[in-house]
Amino acid sequence: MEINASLLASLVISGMARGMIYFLLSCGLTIIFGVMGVVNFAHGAFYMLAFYITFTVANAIGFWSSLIIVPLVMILVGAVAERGLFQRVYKSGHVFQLLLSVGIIHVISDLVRLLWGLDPKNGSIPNLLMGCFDMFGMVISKYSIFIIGISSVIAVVLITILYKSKIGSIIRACVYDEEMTRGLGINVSGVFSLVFMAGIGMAAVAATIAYPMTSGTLGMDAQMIIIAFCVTIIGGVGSIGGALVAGLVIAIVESLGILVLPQYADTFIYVIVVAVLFFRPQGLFSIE
Amino acid sequence: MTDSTKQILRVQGIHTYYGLSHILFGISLDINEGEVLCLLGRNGAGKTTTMRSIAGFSPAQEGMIYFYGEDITALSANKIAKKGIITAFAEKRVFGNLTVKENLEIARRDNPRKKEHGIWTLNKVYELFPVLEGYAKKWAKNLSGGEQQMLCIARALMSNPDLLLLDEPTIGLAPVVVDDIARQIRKLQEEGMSILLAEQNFLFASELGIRCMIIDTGEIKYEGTFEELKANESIMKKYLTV
Ligand SMILES: Nc1ncnc2c1ncn2[C@@H]1O[C@H](COP(=O)(O)OP(=O)(O)OP(=O)(O)O)[C@@H](O)[C@H]1O
Ligand SMILES: [Mg+2]
Repeated sequence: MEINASLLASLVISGMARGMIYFLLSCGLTIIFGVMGVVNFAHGAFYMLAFYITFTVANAIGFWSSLIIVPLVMILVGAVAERGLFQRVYKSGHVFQLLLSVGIIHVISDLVRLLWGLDPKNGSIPNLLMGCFDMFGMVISKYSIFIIGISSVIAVVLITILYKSKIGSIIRACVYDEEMTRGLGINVSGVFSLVFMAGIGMAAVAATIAYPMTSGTLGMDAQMIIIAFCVTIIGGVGSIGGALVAGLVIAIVESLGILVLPQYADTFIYVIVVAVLFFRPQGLFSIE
Repeated sequence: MTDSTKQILRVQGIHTYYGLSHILFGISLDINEGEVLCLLGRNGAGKTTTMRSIAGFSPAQEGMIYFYGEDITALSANKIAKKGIITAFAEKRVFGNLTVKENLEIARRDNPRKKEHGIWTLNKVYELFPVLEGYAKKWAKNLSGGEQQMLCIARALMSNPDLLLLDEPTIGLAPVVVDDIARQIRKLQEEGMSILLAEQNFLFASELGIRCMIIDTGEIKYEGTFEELKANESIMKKYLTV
């Protein structure tokens, strides 16, 4: 394959689009981990559930409606999961949290199998965003630009809330020192619910916008949770900015890796993860 | 003490544990409105644990704690804080990933008991700690130890507490800074703030409080005025490192 500037640019753009999906997926995991100290291994399963719900909603009433409906449904699912389940294990340590997450993974997997069967589910890009356009001789897919656009807006909104609003300060304070936050009279369990719901909502947005260009199968949750963990490790626990950078780095490295050494494409990501763990174990953008 | 002095806090025979280790053995104390009560004692005596029990971080398993006559023994830390008891820990525990101003603003809370002129605002807090105003946009983790201590007290004030639990506010600070903090606490005192002050620094404490208690191995060993204590060398030698 001939490598030229135009091909490289297209790969970087499609890598960025995937990176933004990784970011949306992972910011829930990293912020839930950062704020509540809960490692939600079921985060990938919630993503998968959102993906399958998108399949049904998009086929019934169209992709554009699913973009709104699915995240709302998943926020509700997140609220039930937090209030009903996770809240009970906040103080029980990682082992119980792991057991609960694994239980949820099994329940969601079986539910998906039961409701949607074993066939892979594929979406299609909405007509409006089908095809490519030419920019300075580069061929760029419209849908990639759509993903980058919509997730950039979400990233800006998230980071503004986190750094410019009082609730954002409170969330960051919880990441730093939860007990002291309580000690100021702040209702931390309310903050936990909010963060959990928002985190699952973001994973749902990621699943919905990924739906038209990826294929959904049972087991996709495992693949996604690994990526989300890599993003969290590289970016630093609890850091939204870190998740953004790490998501982009991972996806672009994947894209370029395929170009350079296809058989080792996946390996590059783990090399970065190991390097970060070795040289900066708290992650690139850790709050410490 | 006149009849008009109102009791703000009453602690009655509390026992507190960390896991299985029994730390406090029946601590009792009273604080009147507007008073600075000093809790003296060596390292590991139980000063911090007493405060953690009052504030609800490490609830007492036995005994009672009343705040303005209301039983708060079993309330959660955030409910107790809302009622008007705020702790400033010796470890400071400012939110390092927030700016100085954000640290202050998240603590802001109204107190219906407080009269208009007594309300702590950002400006009033900056008046008491002018150094903080200059650093308003700085990350709290980049402040010096003394500045962090001031921020910690200032943050506590922003929630307009009725009772301030000050845990060794001078620990590890240079003498000049200690003087600053002493002056600031005295101002709080003049404004009528009720304070429970834990200290190992006898001189510092005796300049601020009239009444003191000595705690050792989780029990109150002495209760009286600083004047009486100064005259009692054997107690001083036994329980304090002066
Ligand atoms: N988290 C904990 N778990 C178990 N034991 C603890 C814990 N924190 C404190 N202790 C023990 O409780 C006892 C009282 O400690 P505490 O911190 O209340 O003392 P202190 O008077 O505040 O001392 P210092 O002046 O050193 O701060 C000590 O023996 C200490 O070792
Ligand atoms: Mg202490």
